[in-house]
Amino acid sequence: MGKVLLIVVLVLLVLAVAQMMRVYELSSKVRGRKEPTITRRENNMNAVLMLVFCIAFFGFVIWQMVAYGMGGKGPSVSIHGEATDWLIGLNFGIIIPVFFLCNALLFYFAFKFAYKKDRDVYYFTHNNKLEMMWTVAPAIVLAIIIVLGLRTWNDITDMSGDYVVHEHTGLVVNDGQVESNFEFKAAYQTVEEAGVGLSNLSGSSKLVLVEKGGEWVLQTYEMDGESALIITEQKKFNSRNSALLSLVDEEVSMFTELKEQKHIEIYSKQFDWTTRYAGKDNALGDANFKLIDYNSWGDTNTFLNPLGLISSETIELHFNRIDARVSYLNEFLGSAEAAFETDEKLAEMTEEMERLKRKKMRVQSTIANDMGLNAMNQSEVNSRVYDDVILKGDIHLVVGQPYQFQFKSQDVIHSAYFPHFRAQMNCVPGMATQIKFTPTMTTKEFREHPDVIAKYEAINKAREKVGKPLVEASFLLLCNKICGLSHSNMWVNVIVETQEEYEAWMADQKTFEQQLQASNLK
Amino acid sequence: MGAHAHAHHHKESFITKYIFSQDHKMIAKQFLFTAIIMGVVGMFLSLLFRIQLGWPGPNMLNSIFLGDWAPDGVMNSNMYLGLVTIHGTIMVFFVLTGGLSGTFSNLLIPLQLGARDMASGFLNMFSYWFFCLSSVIMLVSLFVESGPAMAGWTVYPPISVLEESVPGSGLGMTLWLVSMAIFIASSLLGSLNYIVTILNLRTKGMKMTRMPLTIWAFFVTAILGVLSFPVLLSAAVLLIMDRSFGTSFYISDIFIDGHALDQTGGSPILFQHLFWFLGHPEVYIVLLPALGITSEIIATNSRKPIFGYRAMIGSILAIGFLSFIVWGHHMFITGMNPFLGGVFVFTTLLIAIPSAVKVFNYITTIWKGNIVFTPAMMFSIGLVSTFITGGVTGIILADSALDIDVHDTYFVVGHFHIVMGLSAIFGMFAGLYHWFPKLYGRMMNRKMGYVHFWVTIVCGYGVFFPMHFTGLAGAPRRYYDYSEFPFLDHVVDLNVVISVFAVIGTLAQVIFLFNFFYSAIRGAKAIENPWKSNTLEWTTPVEHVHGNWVGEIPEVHRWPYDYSKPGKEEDFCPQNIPLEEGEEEHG
Repeated sequence: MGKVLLIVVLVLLVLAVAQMMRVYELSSKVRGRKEPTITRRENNMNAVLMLVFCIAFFGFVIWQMVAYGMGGKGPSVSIHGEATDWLIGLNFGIIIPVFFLCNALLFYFAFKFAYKKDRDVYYFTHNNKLEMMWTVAPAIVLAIIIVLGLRTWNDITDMSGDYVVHEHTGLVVNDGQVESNFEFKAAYQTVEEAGVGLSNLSGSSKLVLVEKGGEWVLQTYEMDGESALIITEQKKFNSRNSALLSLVDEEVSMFTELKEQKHIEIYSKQFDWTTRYAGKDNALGDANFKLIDYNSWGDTNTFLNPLGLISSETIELHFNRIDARVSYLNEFLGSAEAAFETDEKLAEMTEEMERLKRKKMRVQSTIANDMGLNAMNQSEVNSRVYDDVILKGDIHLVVGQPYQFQFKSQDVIHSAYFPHFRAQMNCVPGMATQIKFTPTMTTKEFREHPDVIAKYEAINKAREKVGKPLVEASFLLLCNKICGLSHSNMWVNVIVETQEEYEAWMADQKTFEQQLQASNLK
Repeated sequence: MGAHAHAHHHKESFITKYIFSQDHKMIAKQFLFTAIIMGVVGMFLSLLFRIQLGWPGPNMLNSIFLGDWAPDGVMNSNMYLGLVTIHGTIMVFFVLTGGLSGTFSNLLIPLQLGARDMASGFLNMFSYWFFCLSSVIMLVSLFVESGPAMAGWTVYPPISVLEESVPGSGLGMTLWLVSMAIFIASSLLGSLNYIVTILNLRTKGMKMTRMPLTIWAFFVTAILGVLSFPVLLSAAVLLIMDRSFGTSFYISDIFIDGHALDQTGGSPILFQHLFWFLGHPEVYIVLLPALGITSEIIATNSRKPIFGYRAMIGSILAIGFLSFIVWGHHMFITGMNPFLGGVFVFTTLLIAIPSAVKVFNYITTIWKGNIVFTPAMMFSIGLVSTFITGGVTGIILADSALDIDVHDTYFVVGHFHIVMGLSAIFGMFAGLYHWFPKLYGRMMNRKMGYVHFWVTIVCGYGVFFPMHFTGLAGAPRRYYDYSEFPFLDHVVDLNVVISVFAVIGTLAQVIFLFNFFYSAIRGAKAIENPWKSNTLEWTTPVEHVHGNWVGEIPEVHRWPYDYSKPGKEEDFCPQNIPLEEGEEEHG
């Protein structure tokens, strides 16, 4: 049916074109077959259309600016995102007037100077002063853009700040949970540097809350003369909330919090994301792609090692699987069954066996040489990886917590795009790329933001009309580099929550060690 | 070259005249014809995926044209990537590089310089036939069972290396690479020829500083091509090695389809450096000829000299030079050292200065002119407008801190389609309307030209301007379907707006095609200098002759922009008219 219709349409189109040609030909015969020169009417009409087009075009642009705005993603929810938004606002503040002005001049002049027989044309070949002016003016504006842009770029990409200071004001208790406003103050490379910095921080409060090995400690930092730093430890709490509650009790409204950057890995493959949290030691364990294990040989043991993490158990498991496969192949090739297979298949199996033997040797040498794994540091390597938590699906982050992300890919290039956090980084196989950011708003707070409420009200109204399920605002991680079949479907939610919510959730998750134990590997 | 007797004593057979011709005018027409076919295909592919984006789900066009790739009329998402990839490749390389430079450099370099032909007619013929062959191979790749290349027009490895990652990385990608290798050979032969011709075959009196700006643009374009395309060729060769011979220039640490690959030690980022070392100059290979054409047309039809001739040459040279040291701005978020990123921000934003100078000079040229609205002039004005609009958003993208946020979103798609898909294409249309009398000895129909222009500019902005807003809302490019993402719901209706404009805009090109072919065969006969222009090509006879001029080659006495010069009776004064006594050369 569809094809017939298309053929009919095509035939009609051809007929229409043929008719058009006939009509055109007849009419040009009447006119004497000569393309007449442009009439005054035509020229003036086009001149007016230039102006009309310009006004319509500007109207179209302004309509879009009003209806869709520059902030289509809603408010930024990371510390650096605010700087990004400010900078993009400044840039738009410069380019939008340039866009309107230049286009307006162009179309207005086109309208104004349409051909007139007796017009006095200005023979104007050059003017050095004028040309110098419009070389220097853009240069100055661009210098501003470059300087401000590079400043922001350097701040965003500076990976050295491992310890981040927030200043809190105004603690509020809500259902036994403490909520507070904080402001990002500074970043330091080591605890000592942070201590010196904190003791020099002006302002009323030198009271500092620090997380240390799963405990929250309230301390004060003071400089003794030029060099020595005195840290007075005051109180210890086993959760952040109870530390904050004690501050509320003592009517302290301002204090400083020192937060260590948390390491987290986002691992990509066609077509999903896996997140690895660094665990208590805040260090990500080592990995090697040769240890990646999807159990493709039908081994009955169900343990999987999708990120190729290195521990004594995973190495052993991997070698066992290779050995099992090699002995299976060896047995099969020597058995009577082999006679029923084609020569091609047998050659393939022999080759696989040889390859596996080579691979085992290579893995042994890679892990020993490249990773520096030996009997001496085996336990150190193990302990780095044992407390890692590996999860597919939603990514959980803590508000106000600085994160250092590490990105990896197993197969092709993917790009981790966090539109709400104004963050993006490619995931490149064979290398680990990094970014850092600090979420400033929980998912819940984001949903209560007036801009977001307005946006989602409109969205849900439209969805209701067409009978689609209603939706709530949430943060996303999307793939933003062409990666194959399900590229447009490779995404997960990012959930930002309070420290307490995060801990409650994390308590239910299995560490890598627990996974190993559950599979009877450890 | 250049013996007078050479001019018209050839008796040519059909084959030497129309097929294996060594005459630059015929070769220009061959390039043009091939590019039009490629352009129609490229645009049709975009129509298919625009319909998918505007109205996802089954449709008739899919079931007719995509066959097995559209079960029940619903486009397969791999095929979507294939369409996007081939659309980009065809438009950037085959239409805007081969088509634009191939047509107008070939046609205008000898004619505007006063040369009998190109320096080497034989190489020129080879240049075309390589182009033709590569076009055929690229089109054939669309019909491969496993699909055409699907890695995006930038064919980043590892997706372009690993057949397991996407079906198009099989035979489709092989054909893509072979086609591109041949295309590069074509481009190099052409460019060398253009450079040699411009340096050696200028007629008497045609100093470099008297050359029309078209020639300056073609000259710098050819230099860019000669310096950058070989790098792409080497990148492609290494990619072929990785794909077929087990080397690992670009791949490392890959686990795919259940097993770890043996190749280690390569870097996918290396390919990106090599690719964009061509890729960014390529932007100007596409744009500079269009700007050159516009300079000529705006001056002619404003009946006024181009403003700041030397500044225009300076800015072409500056853009050409800078285009070689900015490639890293395509790679801000690949994990490149941030310091290096900062350097590329600086160099990239510098390009805005010569670009701004060009825009201001165009506007000043029109100011106090006496504008004749030929279709060519209107497309040139359209080019300046789109160059402004597309240029300013480039400032956002060049700023690495902001690029993090908008990289690979529709903001980028909007930006580069306005500068390449509109500006450069407008330059090509302007050139066609303007030099049609020189190509076919006939005039194109003007009224159809007007309709074509107005519908095209309205639809062009209608398609590409809203993309900035979908991009700012966070819509990633190369997505087959956005309905999964409620956070983009509020801009989804823009996708429909874009697609409606795309369909209308495509139909408007049918008017152009009709006008073009009809006028080439039956259009009104042209006169020798229909636009009252100053450059030398308008002193050649309407009927093409081998060797271009029947008698002596005219001598050049002045710059090409003496329009409305005070003290002259006519409002133009061709380059071959000697200076009068006491007349100064420039105002």
